[in-house]
Amino acid sequence: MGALLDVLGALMVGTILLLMILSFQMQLRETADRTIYAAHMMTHVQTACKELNSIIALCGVNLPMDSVVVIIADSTKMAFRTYWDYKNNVMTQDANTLSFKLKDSATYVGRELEIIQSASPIYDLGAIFWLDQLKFYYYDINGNFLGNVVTGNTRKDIFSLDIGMTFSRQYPYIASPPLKTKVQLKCYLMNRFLRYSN
Amino acid sequence: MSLMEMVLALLAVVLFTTVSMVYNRSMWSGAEALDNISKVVQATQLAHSKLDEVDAKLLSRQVAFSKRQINDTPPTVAQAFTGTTLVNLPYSGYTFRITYDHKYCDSLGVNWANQAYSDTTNYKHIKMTLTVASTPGMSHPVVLSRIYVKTNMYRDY
Repeated sequence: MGALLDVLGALMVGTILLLMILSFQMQLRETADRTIYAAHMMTHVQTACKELNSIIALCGVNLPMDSVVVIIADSTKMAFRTYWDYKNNVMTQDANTLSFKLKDSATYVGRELEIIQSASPIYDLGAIFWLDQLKFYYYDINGNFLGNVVTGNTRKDIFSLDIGMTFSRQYPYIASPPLKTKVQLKCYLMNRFLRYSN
Repeated sequence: MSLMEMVLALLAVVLFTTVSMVYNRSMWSGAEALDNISKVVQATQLAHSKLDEVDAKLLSRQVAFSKRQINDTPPTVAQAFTGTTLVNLPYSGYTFRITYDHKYCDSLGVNWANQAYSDTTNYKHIKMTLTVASTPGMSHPVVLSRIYVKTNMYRDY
């Protein structure tokens, strides 16, 4: 009887240890996966910031100081005019319009930032996806906050903007919350600053 | 169970707990490092934007590269971007401390040996170095430099 109890006790302890080791192994795997996912996401955030900054730097190329360059200055979307054709990388005779807004991609990457140049999406740009929220803040030449929505002639006063982006990526494990990261990017409309001096 | 067996069992438990705790700590460190990465990315963007601000203000001639008289307006780059400032980013929820440092240098960014400069000296290159730190969070600050070259678009002599 004593020997049987010993065997049963050893079996119980062994089972508990085995369960602990298994759950430990699962946690290790989850952490490793999470790290890889987060690393991918941060690389994507960096790329997104770089691309956005380089596109917005083209705002107002060849447009005079007294014209409205930022034609839509909304809290969730923005559009500007430029004589630079971003898609073909050339200067054009007519002004192009570049606009940004969030769009549901209807795929696993979630929402994406749609960048449109004169009614045609820039597909070969490399999509900015996993984007959960997008917010614009507008500033004048001295860095004073103009608002989230700017209309009328006040749009001529826009010289820089903050872009707030929340990236969210679904995680492979069902019970885990999605990975989220926020970034705030400041873009200066360099051509406006250049025109201001003349 | 003899005393020896009990001691061995206890030692096994201690060993197992120690190994578990070491692994657990490693996982927490990994999670903290991930949080640190997002701060580093934000700090890098902030540093770039502050260096862009210098460019923008030079282009709009709100700051001058150099000037003839010390009291002339506008201020020089060295006068306008100096010291330490706190920057609060409400959207991302971080606060960073930015320290500006400028050195007059040659075209390769090598600092001049004599840094006893004057704002009215006709320098050709300025190397601006930004140190962006966050407390708590980042174990090392982000340090970025950019060399500004005098052009005829800037206000100076």
